[in-house]
Amino acid sequence: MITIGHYLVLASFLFVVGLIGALTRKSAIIVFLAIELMLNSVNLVFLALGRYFGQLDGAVFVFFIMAVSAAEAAIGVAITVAFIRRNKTTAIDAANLMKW
Amino acid sequence: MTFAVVFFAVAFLAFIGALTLVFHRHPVIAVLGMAAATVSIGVLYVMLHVPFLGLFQMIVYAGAVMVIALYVIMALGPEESGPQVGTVQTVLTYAASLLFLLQLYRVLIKSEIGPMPAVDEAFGSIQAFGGALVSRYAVPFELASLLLLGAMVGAVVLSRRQWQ
Amino acid sequence: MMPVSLLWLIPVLPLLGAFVNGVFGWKWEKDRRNVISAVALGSTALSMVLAFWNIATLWATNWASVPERVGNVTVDAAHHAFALHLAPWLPVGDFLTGLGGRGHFNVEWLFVLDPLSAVMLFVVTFVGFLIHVYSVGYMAHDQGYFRYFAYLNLFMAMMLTLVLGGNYLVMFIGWEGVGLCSYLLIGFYYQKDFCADAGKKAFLTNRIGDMGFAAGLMLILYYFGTLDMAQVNAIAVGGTIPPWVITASAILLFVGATGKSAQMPLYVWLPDAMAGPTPVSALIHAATMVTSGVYLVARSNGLFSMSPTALMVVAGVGCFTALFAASIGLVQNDIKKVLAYSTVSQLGYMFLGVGVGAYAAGVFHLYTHAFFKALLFLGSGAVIHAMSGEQDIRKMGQLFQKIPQTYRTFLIGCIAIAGIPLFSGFFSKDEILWKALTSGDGPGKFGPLYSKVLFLVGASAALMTAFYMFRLLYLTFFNSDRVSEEAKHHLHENPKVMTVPLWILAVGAVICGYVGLPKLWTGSENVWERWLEPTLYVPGGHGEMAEGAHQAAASGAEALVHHSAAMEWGAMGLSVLVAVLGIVWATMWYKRETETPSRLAQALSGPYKVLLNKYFVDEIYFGAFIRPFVSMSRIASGVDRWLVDGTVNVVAYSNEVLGMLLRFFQTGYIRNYGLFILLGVLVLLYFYF
Repeated sequence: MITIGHYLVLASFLFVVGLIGALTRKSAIIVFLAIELMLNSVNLVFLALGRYFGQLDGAVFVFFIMAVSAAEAAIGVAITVAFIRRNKTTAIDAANLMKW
Repeated sequence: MTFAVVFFAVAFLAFIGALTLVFHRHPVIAVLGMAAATVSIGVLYVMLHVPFLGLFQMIVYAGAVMVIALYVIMALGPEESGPQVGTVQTVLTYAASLLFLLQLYRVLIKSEIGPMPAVDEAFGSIQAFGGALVSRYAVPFELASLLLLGAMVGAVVLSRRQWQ
Repeated sequence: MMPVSLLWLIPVLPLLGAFVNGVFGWKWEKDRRNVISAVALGSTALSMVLAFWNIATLWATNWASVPERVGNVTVDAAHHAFALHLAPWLPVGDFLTGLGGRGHFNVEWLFVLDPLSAVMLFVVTFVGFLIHVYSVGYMAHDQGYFRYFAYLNLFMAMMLTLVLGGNYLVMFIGWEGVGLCSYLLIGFYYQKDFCADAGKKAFLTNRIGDMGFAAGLMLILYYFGTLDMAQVNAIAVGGTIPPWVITASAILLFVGATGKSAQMPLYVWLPDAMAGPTPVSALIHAATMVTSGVYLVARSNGLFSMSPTALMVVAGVGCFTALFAASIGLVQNDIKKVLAYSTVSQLGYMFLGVGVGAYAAGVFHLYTHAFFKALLFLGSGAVIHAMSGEQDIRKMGQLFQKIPQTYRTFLIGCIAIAGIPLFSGFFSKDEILWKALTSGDGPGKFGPLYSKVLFLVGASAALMTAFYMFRLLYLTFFNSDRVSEEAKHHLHENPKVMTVPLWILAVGAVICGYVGLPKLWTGSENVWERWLEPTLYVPGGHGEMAEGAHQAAASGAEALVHHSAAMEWGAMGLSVLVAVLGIVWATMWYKRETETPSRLAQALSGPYKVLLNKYFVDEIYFGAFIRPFVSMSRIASGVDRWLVDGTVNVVAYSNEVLGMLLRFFQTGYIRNYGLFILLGVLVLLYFYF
């Protein structure tokens, strides 16, 4: 009854929500978490399709994505801390040195 | 039947959590929403016959990542101040995202997919998982550990105060 | 043949001298000036010796027994010519001429030694060498000594190339080269604005003439199929070319000659060219460069003879210019300007000579004129030098005892130019006038009226010549003492290095005419006529156009009509009479200080002003040509700046504007960039799925 389509639709919803969050929010941490949300939705897609085709490769891939995501979390937080220390604010608009 | 109910409940929870993350003003509540979403997704992983990953999800995401985020927010003053995001950006983002969603749906419609086929019990078991990790995916496994090492070192380096 | 194969050295030696002086001369400028003069004089002297050797060889050649070809020298026995083929230059190939024949555009470095070029060689190297010697003294205290001699040597090289050139292109190299050297030398004192301007004026006016020359060359090449002078002359006489082509190309070549030889309307640069050092005026603007036009016409005598129209144009222009310039010279007060206008006038005589078909007579006058005009110019230079730079004859006077050598040689020059018998000018001028008078009696379209007009105008110009030359002599050396006090202090005779060339030229001015004794006196053709006869393509000088060479030769022979001896004595007497009249008249008015000239000037103040201001020709040219041209240039400049540059600038500016607009996408906020990525992904998704 629950087809793979349900999983995929759910994943796409989550992805889009995460996208909106990444492009719209001002706080660095929230943006970071929205990106994590996007990664999660992708994980969901991988697992769903892996289950659909009966292959474990999808799951292994998700495993690695999680590993990368964890590493990225560590680094990202470290960067955010440095960023906040420098700019005294969490607003990512402070990172605008590439402005014309 | 129960499966469907559980699925929809969990999906709904995940969705609400995501919306909370993105739209709630208070950052702590937003993080908690994300945590809820993460947990829900972990449950979904279990429902997809990979309980190992579901567990992993809880530990890594709901446990570590959310806690770190919460810690940063609480320790370093999370209040959003300053000018709001420009309207052009928001409007365009919503429009584009909607279009994106529709596109994805269109792609989905065009492809032929059906109900989930049956799998045996051994699918997604830890034995299978571990076997794959040390045989077929041994190199990426090692590389991942290197990556984590690098991340640790990097984190330490980056958060160091400048020594005079 | 030996010296002929070295013919190419004659122009090359001065060229080397120019190079050495030009590149290394600055080192010797300060204290080793004699090295500079040694290089310059040495190369010219060597060139002169080689030239004399070649001329002697030419004289001594037995034309009956000379072989057709020796090495790279070909022989044209019929025209007494040696042609040295040095190397190919533009071997372009064959082409279809305008008449459907086969033309060979195959220009080579060709030097030709024949009686005519021998005459020019003699004049150029001999007078040129004397002037080099004179310059050592004249320029001794000037800056730019090495530059002067480098340019002077370069001029010699170019002039010799012009003279020796066997085809029109090699001649053209020399033609342009002497124009360049003229510019360089006129503008020698370039720090003075009017000197630099005079140089530019000379060059530009020359250029206008050169346009005509080049057009003529193109026409010749297209219809005749070759640029070799001997061939062109032969083809012209052959009668295969349509008459309009011959007339047009002859007239176009004459336009070039007008520019170079300062005839109407392109003479305006010559008086201004007096801004250059006096030896330059003597060499370039009296003896050699300005005579290249006459030489050109004489060289192309086959071409010109076949077109009576062209000949009439040449004679008419020459005659008119002779009178016109002489009239201006009557009232000028600068010693060099008088001589300049005199040169223009005498050149007019030369063109009158060649214009009535008397090529030998025209070249004869060229030869004698080189001697006495160079003498006069160098003499004037000596006067100026002795007077510490003063050139206005109103500030001179009673100099004949103070600078006697200069005075005596100047006197000889004046007598020669006036045309007093037994001096050289008489023989050449009389010959031209006689030939002009009789030009209407042969075949050809001159008509008796035209020839009588030519004669009378020529005689009037002779009267004026005698008058203004002696006016110049008297005002400078006699009359009343109007010399300023400071000039009196430095007044002294010039050093030997300047007076010796003067005496050599004076002797030449007297005796050089004896090669051209008229038939009336000796009963037979003179040396000059016999020498130059082989270079003529149409004996007698001009022929009917209609039936071609055969007819031309026949009718030319008829042209040697026997006019009565009485008529000839009469004409000769008339020319002597006008000369004597002119001298007497000038003596009456100028030898002692009299009131007559100034009273006449006041009485006829209108004409006097016109003459003094040289008929306002320069002003007319300025208003009629130069100002419109400058306005056009301004318009063109505006178009260039606004339209052409503007288009480019608009393109660049639009880039700038576009950039300014596009930079708003560089907000620096990563969320905007993320949005752009999303939009891109959308597009991709749409196209691929």
